[in-house]
Amino acid sequence: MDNSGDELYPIAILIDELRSEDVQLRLNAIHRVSTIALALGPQRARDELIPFLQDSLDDEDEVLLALAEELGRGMDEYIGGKDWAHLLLGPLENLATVEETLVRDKATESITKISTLLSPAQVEEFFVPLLRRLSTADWFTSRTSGASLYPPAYPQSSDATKDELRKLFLGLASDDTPMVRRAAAKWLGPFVKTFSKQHVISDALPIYRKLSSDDQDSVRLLTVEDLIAIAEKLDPAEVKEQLLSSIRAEVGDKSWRVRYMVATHFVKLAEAVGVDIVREELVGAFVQLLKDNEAEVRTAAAGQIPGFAKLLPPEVILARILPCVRDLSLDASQHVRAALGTQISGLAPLLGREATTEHLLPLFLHMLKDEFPDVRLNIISKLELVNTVIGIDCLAQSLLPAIVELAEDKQWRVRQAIIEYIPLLATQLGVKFFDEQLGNLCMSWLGDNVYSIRESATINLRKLTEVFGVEWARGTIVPKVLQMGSHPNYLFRMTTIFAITTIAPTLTLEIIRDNVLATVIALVKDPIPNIRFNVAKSLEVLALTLANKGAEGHDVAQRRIVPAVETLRNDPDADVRYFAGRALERARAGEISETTIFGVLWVL
Amino acid sequence: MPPGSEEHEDFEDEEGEEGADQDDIGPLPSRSMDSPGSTRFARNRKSRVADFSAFAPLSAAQHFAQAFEVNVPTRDLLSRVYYTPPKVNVGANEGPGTVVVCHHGAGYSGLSFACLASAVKDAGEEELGFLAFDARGHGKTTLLSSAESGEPEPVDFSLATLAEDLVGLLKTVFPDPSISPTLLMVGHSMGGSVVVSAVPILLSSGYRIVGAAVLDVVEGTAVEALPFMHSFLDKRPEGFQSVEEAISWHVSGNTIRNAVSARTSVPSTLVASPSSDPAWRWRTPLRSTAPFWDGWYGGLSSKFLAVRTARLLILAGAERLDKTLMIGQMQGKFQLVVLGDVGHMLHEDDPERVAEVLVEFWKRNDRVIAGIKKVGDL
Amino acid sequence: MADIGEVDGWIAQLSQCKQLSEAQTREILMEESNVQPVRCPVTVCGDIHGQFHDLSELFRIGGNSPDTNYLFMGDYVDRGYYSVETVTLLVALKLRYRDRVTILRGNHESRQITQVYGFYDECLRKYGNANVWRFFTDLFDFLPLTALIDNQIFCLHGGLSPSIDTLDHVRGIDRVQEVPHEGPMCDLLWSDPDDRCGWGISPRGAGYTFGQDISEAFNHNNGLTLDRNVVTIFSAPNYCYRCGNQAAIMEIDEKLSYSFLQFDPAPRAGEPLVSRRVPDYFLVSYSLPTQSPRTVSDP
Repeated sequence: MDNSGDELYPIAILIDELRSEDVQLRLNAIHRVSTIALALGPQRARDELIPFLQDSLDDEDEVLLALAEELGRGMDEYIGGKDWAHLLLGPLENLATVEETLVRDKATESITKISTLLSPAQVEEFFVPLLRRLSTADWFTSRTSGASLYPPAYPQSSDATKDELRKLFLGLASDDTPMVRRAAAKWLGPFVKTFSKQHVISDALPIYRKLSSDDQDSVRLLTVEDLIAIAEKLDPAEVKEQLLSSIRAEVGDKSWRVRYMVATHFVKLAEAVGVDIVREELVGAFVQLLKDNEAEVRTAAAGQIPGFAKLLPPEVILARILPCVRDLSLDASQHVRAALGTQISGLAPLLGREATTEHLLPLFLHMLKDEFPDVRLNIISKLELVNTVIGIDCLAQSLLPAIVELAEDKQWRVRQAIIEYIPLLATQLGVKFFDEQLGNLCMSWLGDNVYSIRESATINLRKLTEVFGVEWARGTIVPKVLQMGSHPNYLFRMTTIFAITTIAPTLTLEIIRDNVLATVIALVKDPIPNIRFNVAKSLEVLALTLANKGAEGHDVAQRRIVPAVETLRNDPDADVRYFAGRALERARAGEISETTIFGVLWVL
Repeated sequence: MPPGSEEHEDFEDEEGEEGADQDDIGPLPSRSMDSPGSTRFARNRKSRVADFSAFAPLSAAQHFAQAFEVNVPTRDLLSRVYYTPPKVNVGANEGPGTVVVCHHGAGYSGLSFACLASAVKDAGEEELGFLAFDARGHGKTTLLSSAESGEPEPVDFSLATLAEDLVGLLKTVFPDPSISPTLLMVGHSMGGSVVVSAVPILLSSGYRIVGAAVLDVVEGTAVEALPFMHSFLDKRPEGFQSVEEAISWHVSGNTIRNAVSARTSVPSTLVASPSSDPAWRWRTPLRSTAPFWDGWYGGLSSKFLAVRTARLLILAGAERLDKTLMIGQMQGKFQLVVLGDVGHMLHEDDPERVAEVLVEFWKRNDRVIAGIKKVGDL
Repeated sequence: MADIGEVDGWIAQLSQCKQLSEAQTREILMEESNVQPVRCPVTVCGDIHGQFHDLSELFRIGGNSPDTNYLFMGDYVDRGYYSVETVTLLVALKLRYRDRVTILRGNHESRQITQVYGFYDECLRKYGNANVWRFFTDLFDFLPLTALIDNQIFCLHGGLSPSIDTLDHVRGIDRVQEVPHEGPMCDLLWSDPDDRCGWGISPRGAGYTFGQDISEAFNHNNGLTLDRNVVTIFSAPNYCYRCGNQAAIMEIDEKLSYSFLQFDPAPRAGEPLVSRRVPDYFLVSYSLPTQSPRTVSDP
């Protein structure tokens, strides 16, 4: 065998593997294409590999997809640097014409990447002709791909070429095939961003007008973002003069899909057109969308309420937006009400204390009773915003009956959202009012049949202990928690252990020594292994807590906890032995800072 | 031979046999690295060669023992039937055997099942017969009244009418339910709906039915597709210059992925056109069935789950059950088979595998085991 | 056996619905034990079908493993979008806490069925090859077919078989194989309880239907006592993202008393909202082509 045979080896393998019947092998070969280029050296990669890839590829879409990706992934390095990068355009141009959309999109993405490496001369000589060919090809797939390549090509082109490119793009926007017009509508926005203002008015506007009056709603819906891009390029007076009728047309489009797109992008649109048009024109348009016949449109518009209201003075919000909000809170579609539920509290900071109490609070109360749990949940989880505006006192008093009711909601996530809200309420209500109104509720959650509620209930107890102090905990919480340690069902005895483990770091040495330890240690003999290994975990946290409380704490840990853990280390159950062993190791490791104790809690 | 029927051994032309073993040398592009000119990219530009020699029609004669016309006056029908009788009293089987009865989908014909008939026969179960027929407005079936008046009348394609047609035909061919063969009812697409509607009527008339098999139709998917039917039909050619061109259109467009079957079944879906352009048009203008589409599929899933016989659903390519069927499947109410690498015309695309599934289904539900109830028994 | 800390790491990772790398998965699969009879207390769960987020919800409702003991009765894979994550998490939990978790075989834990109903395609999509699928389906052959809680409650994916009268018959089956098309092993995974008395041919195309008389006789012959003869449990809420059903699990306490917990689908992102209309242009779906031709039937 001669030397040239050896040198041919890599490309020979590539060709062999590319011919393989096994898609996987062909795929592997493509993913190694840069390695092969490296082995060949830049010259041969340019002279042999690139033409090979360009001419003889005929394969499954997934292989073509891989090739399109690989060619855009720094291949220029292996063919001699960016002076040669234009060579990669050849195979990519072919890939940009195939039937499978994913392959085409990847190919144009790679072309876009490569275009950043090209010099103005390369752009004129190679990229622009490619764009010309794609844009005027017979097959619509090519023209579709072409549309996406104007934004990268345009800024680097000469003025004469720029004139040509704008005309070519107009051609795509007037194409017979809806797919091509859709591509033009999709890429007009990014394209416009590269225009000078003069050409926005002279060229982009006519193209936009053509596309936005297309027969197909699938084309029109893509022009909403074009409209925003154009508006961003113009000053308010020009927007008013040039775009007002277009905005009206999009908002009033007969296809709900188009209106859905307008609603989805409404805040962006409002920000692009300037204050005057917002006040004079968009308020009415927004009201129209909030009252749309289609639930999807109303849902999308509801999502924009606080964002849009920010651009308005409070009196306009009250006069124009709030009546719609009131209607939406009674909307027939649960999705609309749920969307409103997450947004409505965003109005509170804009309206201020008085108006919120007067206008929003009744709506909250109403929506808290909604039959669809997502609505209730969304309202509760955003109440904090309202709280900062009207103060917890006012909120608590108006909401307390609703909260007590929701505390027993049949949806556990609603109950959980209420639990998470309790510590904040506790801070504001004070211990007496709290014990009277909410104390029993907090303890009843420990016996919930859903685990997550029991877990949240224990975390809630720790937070309450932080609010009301350890002595309150000793008198109120600890006895009730310990009482559950003799529950006949292991899942509830487990709650006792979890609760102790959770609140331990907030307790004093005395409470641990005199109240808690006996119960925990008694559970070392529990018949259920799951209880015993959680006792081991709990003892670990208690030992670490005590170790942080001076010599006496250390002594209690050594005398009472270590022997109990030793017992568990000889348990017949493997999991109990494992967790007991871990506890012993950590308990013996000695003094550990309080942060670590909380850290341990998160780990458990 | 049943009363009221008249044997016609008129399986059309015997020509085209020379093409029978060429069926896999179509104009499909081959993935060859040796001819660098023929790239994938060329494939997309659809250079279609007008050479239809590989698409000559084939006779269906080899697939059925008989073809005859059945006069069903109660239904105003002269029905074209293709039939292979079951062998009776053979071997351990002392009964009248079982007949697989097939109802085709809208726009097709009984010959859509020709290759399946052979495949069932080749499965080697002698007591299994096979009957396929052309529904009203399809294939060679005609309305008696229009034959008399010479006037083509608008055809009633409602589900109830088609189901009564099927019942009427079977009552004519097998007049006495007590000595009739057991029936294995099979319906493709719209035919699936017809079969599901006909089974309860046949059962109450005393026929023994071993099972109902529905081929590639699901109510939820069908109903969702209805709004797109017209644009789908817009894309179909109105007619063809030759029968070969029509066969080529079915095969090249992957409507039927089996050239032998397409060459056998497609001719019966066409009629010579009075004009020369196109020379051949569709036998059944599908647009004329549009008023009936809603009625074909409404409630199909729950009706299918309620038929008091074994239930089989064969789907092509992927499982696409609607909510009713999904729940039914969760509760074990029917057998689902999903076949890969076939299209909507699965019984034409891969008759062997469909036959295998049907024969298994029949064996499983037909066997008598002491103390074990059949599906649908009380 | 992998190091415990390492397995704990996998479990933490899996609980976030992240895929294990292929090598990790391979390692987990190396060892799996036959399952012993199950002791109460235990929480019994039915089909999960790749609905990973709903499995997480199940743990939020019933408690985390190993704190709560679990018995899963099969059908971890297929249909949902996260079969790989679901089955990997359950297998990893089994590996780490063999006394706290029991996983049985369902009829979807099979090479044939998973090629039609999604698990095979999912593996191919997520790993680029079928190795993970092959590892799991090989592992499935080792999964036990049934469990017996405190010698009292007999649990299995499907139902009874006319060729099985006693638990010893079940014990005598050579289970390490692909689920056969017929016979006792097939029946255990495919049969269904029925309103009709006696045995019936199953409309599913495999297994049998059996009436209350059959289950009563079986329980009696084997000394099993539960005040209800048969309980069916299904733990995939809004099955296939469109059935709208609630899911259930059954908590059996240390005195063998039981209660049912029902739950709804977990709120989730990234899965289709089938109940709502979304402009179709926003729903772009693509799956890589699959290669092998497949013919299978299934319940």
